Amino acid sequence: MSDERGARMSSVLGSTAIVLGNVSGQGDLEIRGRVQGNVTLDGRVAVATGGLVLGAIEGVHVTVLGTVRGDLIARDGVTIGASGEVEGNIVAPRVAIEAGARVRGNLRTGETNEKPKSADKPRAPLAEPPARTLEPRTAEQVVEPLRPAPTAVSTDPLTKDEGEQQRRKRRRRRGGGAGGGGDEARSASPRTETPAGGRPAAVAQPPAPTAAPHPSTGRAAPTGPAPKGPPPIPTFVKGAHGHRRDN
Amino acid sequence: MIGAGLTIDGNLKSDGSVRVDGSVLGRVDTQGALELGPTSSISADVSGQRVSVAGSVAGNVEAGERVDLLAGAKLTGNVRAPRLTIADGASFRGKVDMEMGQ
Repeated sequence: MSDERGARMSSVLGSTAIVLGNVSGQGDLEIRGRVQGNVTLDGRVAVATGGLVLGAIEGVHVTVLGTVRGDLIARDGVTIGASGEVEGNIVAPRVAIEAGARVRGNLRTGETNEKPKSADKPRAPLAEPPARTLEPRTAEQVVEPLRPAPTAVSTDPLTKDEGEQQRRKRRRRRGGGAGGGGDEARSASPRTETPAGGRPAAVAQPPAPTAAPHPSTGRAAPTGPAPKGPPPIPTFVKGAHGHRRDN
Repeated sequence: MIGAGLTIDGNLKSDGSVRVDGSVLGRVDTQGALELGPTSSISADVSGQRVSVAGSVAGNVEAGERVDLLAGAKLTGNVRAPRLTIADGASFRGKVDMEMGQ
């Protein structure tokens, strides 16, 4: 279907058309409406009277009768008519500016046909709006993961307390109930009894850091390599459903 | 009117009638008639008063008056219009909503 005639067919952006985004391709283009984005064509580009381009224009030949805020890069030449208004740099072998035209920017003429290296992305501040409107690109927005707040509530007094209780209890148990009143201590702390029940062999070491029940869950802290350091730093972050911080 | 060799990487909006023979990687919204030629390719939603599709559209099509899927059209998306014609040879995959009650 895409015959040569179609490929060379010139396109016209009507006076009511608004393009938010870049325009590229082959063929000629006449812009009577508004383009917010860069125009890169392998053909002639004409901005008609009343047309507005907010972005760079690159083409074989660029004719401006309307308004362009952006650079003009042409392989062949640039013509700015009397009603034209350009705010941007112009790079082309030949440049014609008619009387009455308003141009603000640098002008480089008489160069080789190759477009300069600096013209790759000369001025594309207006290529941003389409990026926001297109759905797939919105995924680029990186949502910063919510990091659980460091445990402001120090569990030191509690763990020390319960560790002390356990230590006392175990001492009593080891002693064969000689001290008496062991039932009292056991009933006083029933929740420390259940988790610690599975590990009676660990009594040899002071079990304060590992065997201390987690203050929020009441379960025993995981039996990892027990940190022998003085303060029992909680390995788990409180309030994050047990998410480990160190991965 | 967007020629066959032209690609718009963004949205196209118009109050008048638009004919697209190139490709648009974004929405096309018109208040008037929208003609999508046989070589056209739209990869987002399309809306207009009267939409006739002869190319390929990957997105929803919404029209205030009617949607015509011509022969050779390839539409993957839903259609929302009070009138819809699907010509022989058109390929269509999606849902149709012809009740335009908001």
